[in-house]
Parts: sequence; C-alpha cells; structure tokens
Amino acid sequence: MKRMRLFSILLIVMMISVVALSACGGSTDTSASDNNMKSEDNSSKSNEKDGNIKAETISTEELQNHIDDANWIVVDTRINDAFNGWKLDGVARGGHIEGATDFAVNWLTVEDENKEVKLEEVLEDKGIVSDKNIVLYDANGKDAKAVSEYLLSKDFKNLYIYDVKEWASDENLPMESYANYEMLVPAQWVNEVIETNNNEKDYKIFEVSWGEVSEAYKAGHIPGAIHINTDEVEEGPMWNRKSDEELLDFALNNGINTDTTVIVYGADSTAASRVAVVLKYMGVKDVRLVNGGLKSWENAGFEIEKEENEKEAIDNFGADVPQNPNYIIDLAEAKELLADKENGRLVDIRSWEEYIGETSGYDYIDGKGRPEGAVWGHAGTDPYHLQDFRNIDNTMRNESEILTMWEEWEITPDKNMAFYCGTGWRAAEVLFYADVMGFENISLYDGGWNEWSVNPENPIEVGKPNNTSDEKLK
Amino acid sequence: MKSLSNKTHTKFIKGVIILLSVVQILLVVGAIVLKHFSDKSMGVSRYLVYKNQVLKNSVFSSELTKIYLGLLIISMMISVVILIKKYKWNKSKIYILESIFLIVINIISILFMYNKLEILTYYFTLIISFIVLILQYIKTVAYNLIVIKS
Repeated sequence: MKRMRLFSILLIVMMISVVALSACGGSTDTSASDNNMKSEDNSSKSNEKDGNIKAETISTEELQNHIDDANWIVVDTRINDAFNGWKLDGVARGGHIEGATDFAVNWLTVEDENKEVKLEEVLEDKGIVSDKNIVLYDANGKDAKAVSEYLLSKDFKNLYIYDVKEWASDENLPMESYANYEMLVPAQWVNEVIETNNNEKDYKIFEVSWGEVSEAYKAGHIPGAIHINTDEVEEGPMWNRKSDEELLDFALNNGINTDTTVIVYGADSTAASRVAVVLKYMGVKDVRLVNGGLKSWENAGFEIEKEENEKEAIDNFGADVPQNPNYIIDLAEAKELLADKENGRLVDIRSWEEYIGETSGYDYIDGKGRPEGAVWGHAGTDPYHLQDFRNIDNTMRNESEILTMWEEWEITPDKNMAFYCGTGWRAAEVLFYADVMGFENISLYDGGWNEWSVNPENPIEVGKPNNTSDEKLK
Repeated sequence: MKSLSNKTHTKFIKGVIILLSVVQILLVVGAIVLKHFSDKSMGVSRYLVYKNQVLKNSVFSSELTKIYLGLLIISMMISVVILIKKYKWNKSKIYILESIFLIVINIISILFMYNKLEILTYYFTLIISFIVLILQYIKTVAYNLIVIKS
C-alpha cells in the first residue's frame, strides 16, 4: 500500500514536471516563432502584411558597407540629446554614427498646426528623400519603428532599421559627439540630478522668464526650480547686463557660487540662455541649459510642480566678478572685431528683414540696418523666433547644418567672433550653442543693435551685402 | 421759439459734458490698464522704458517740468477762484462738485509732478492727468454756459 502511494506520488510529480516542461518549451517555441515572424516581417522590405510595407532590419556589417554610399542615408531617430552626445538608453558610447543626420521620433508628436509642412521641409533639407535607402536607428527598439511608420505613410519604401547599441559597443566604429554636449542637458539628466541630489554636490534649477511674478512659472515648473526674472541681470533702456556689483548681488541672492551646478530652462530658451551666458561671464563653472526647455521635461513625462520655491541667499560667490570677462563684450570691442576683417566676425543673429534694414524688429528700437561689416548668422522669422537654430521641438539644431549655414558667411570656428541681436537674448542662445559645438573665441556683444543704432556716429549699413548669393539666403 | 432754442443749446452742452466725462473715465481706465500690462507683458514694459527715456529727454525735460509745475500751480489758483465764484453764483450740488473735482485733479497733477513715482507708466499717467484736467476746464466752462443761458 505504502509502495503504491509512493509510486502514485512519483507518477504525479513526473506528470507535473512533463506538463511544466512542455509548457515552458511551448512557450519558448511560440516566442521564437513570434520573433521569427517579426524578423521575417522586418527583414523583407517588400513584404506586405495587411497591405503595409515594413522596414527591414540591417546588420552592422551591411551598414558599414553602405555608409559611404551617396544613395544611402543614416538617420538617428532618438531624442536630440542622444544625437548630441549623451549616453541614453544603455548605449556604450554617446553621440551619433559618424555622418548620420537626425530626425527625432518626438518631432512627430510636436503640437504645431503646420507640423506636417515643417516635417516635410525638414526631411528634404536633411536629404531624407524617398529615392534613397534610409537607415533609421535607435537604441530602444521603438523610435526607428515609429519614424519608419511615418515615412511609410509618406510613400518612402527603402527603409532599414538598425540598433545603434551594436555600433556603439564596438570602439572601432566611428561615432561623433559635440565638443561640449554636456552643457545642453536632456530632461532625463535633470531628473537624475534631482533624484540623486546631484550626489550631494550643490545644484540649483532655475526657471527663467521675464517678470517678478512669472505666469509661466506659476503655471508649472520643474520640481525645486526657482524663478529668475531676466530683469535681475539686465536693465533698460539698452538692456545690457547690469554692473558687476549688481550681478554679484544677483548671484548671492539666488544662492549661486562659482561651484554651483546651475541648470537653467524656460518656456523660451532665449531668456534662459541670456542668464546662462551672464553666469558664465561671471565665473560659474558648471552652467547647463535644458535642451528644448520646459516642453522637453513635460514630453519626457516628468512631474510638474506648481508651488513657488523661495530663493535661498548665500554670502560668498567664491571669486571676483567677472571671471570670464571676454565672454560678453561691449561697443569698443565690437568695433575692434569689425576692424579685424581677416579674423574677426561680428555675427548678426536677427531675421533677414532686420539685417537688411527693412524693420528694426522692435517697437522700442527706432534704427534700422546693421553695423557696417557685420555678417548674417541667421535667426528666424522675427525677433521672437529662432527657427534657424532649433528643431521643431525647440531643441538645438544639428551642428553640421548650423556650420553649413554659417560657412557661406565665413563664420567658422577659427575666427574670433561675437554674436549680437537686438538686446542679447537670441544671440545668447546661439552663443551657447556655439559653445556646445566647441567654438572657442566667441562672445556676446551685449549692446547689440539697440546700442549700436542709438549713436549716429556708429556706421550703419542697409540692404543686401554686395556679395550676397541666393545660396547665402537659404 | 427762443426758449426752444435755449433748451436745444442746453441739451447740446449737457451732451458735450457727458461725453467729456465718459472720455475722462476712459482715460483713467486706460491708465489703470496700461499699468496692469506694464507688469504683465515684457513687450509693454520695454516699450514704456523706451518711451519714458524719450519723454524724459523731450517734453518732460527738467526745464519743461518746472514750467508745467508753475502752470499747474496757477491752474490750482484759478480753480479755487472758480469754486469761490461758483459758490456765490450758483449753489447747485453738481455745479460745486465739478469745481471741487477740478481742484482735486489739479492737486493730483501737482503731486505727480512733485513726487516722481517709481512706476513705468509714470509719464503716461502724468499726461493722462493733464488731459483729464483740461477736459475738466472745458466742462467747467460748459457749465458756465448753461448757467448763463438759463
């Protein structure tokens, strides 16, 4: 009887084991079969499933074989920061595949009434055209697929998907990053700083916008962020930076010393850049700008705080102000730059209409035109936009596109240059980007057109420069 | 016939007075709205900073400001005289009230001139107070016309 019971128990255990194993095996097989199906779906570019053409996956070897082929284009579909240099989604190396262009997946979800038109223009500008073979890569298995679906809807056919983790893990394969990409930070990095308390290193997050009471700040901000009114660093009627003594008070009042990691952002990055540039001029060593502003924080799905955070003043900045006096220059230095025709460039960051003197751009600036000899560095459609330097999601535009845009005007990294605009906001953002790209001899001409135009003794030009080609105006 | 013409005349003047009163109210409301937007909009704020600079160097130069102050003091004296005379001529409440209002606007304008307020809309508020004062003078003259006719 005892033996029978033992035998029964053994039989039951064996049956359970067999069933369990077969279940696991079945599951593995199904999973493999699913994967095979997916793989088959992906690997046949002309494979139609439910009437849809799918993108094909491509191996590292195949990509290497085609990377220099003019009929192939490699596109980074990850968020802009990953392209710039940040190691996101577990890649071994940050940055992008050498020679790749960018078309970030989050551009597809931007709220903009002209989004479709703008995206089509972007595709064309970047050479992402339907008669090319297009390799879309990501690191999370989602971004490239989403972009491929968008391109398929636009009748693109020769699409390939690639996992950049493979490329990044092989040190022999070339990747590019911006020289100072760390200055421009993704929302994920800011969140990490908050969660880790920046590893006990002093840090401050600032929402920068105009006004003592900011509607933008009250509407919602990054947790812990403190509001900075732009009037704390500049004053009218020229809207130049305040005196060094006043700037020191500003820093102390906001709890900033030279070693504080300062993260600035705003709904509009020009205001945040203005403050960032002033802080760098003063001597703060670690100043970061949130790429894409508050929207990128929101899009990343992080928490928004509405309660107001008070400034916490300190009494020691840690150095004399300014530590980087050449980072912001004034009228006399701007004139010196113009006089140095060989190596100096005074770069106008205003709309074309402002540059040629059709409009002053501001209802508080009367003069029209530009300082004689200034070159056009591009900007946007009007004084409140900077589309030539931003992607559709307001992140920084691709470095190579900025350099191409500037090359026509001989704005190259070897030159000693100062950027200016009307009162120093747009130019500050572009200066910051130039810094991110690794330009060295760069500065902000603080007074800009506002200061230059009020004195009739300053030489002014209007109209197109004599050597303007249509290419330059693109 | 003559009485009918007088009536029409009085009606017209009363209409003008009401119209001017509405304009005065609108100007004051305009000053308040401008102050509100100078705190809310960076564009308005910067425009005012620029305009203040222009006005300070032109129509509100220190010399002209002294002249305006002198004129306002003279105007103040005139308005006090008007009030006293009106009190003797006609003791209707609205009539006296208008004269008192003239004095009050005068006092406000003088105080504005004396104490430069640290607000962006200072010069615009001053200009508005001048216009309201001038309109009040016109209204006072218009009241006189009604009194003379009646």
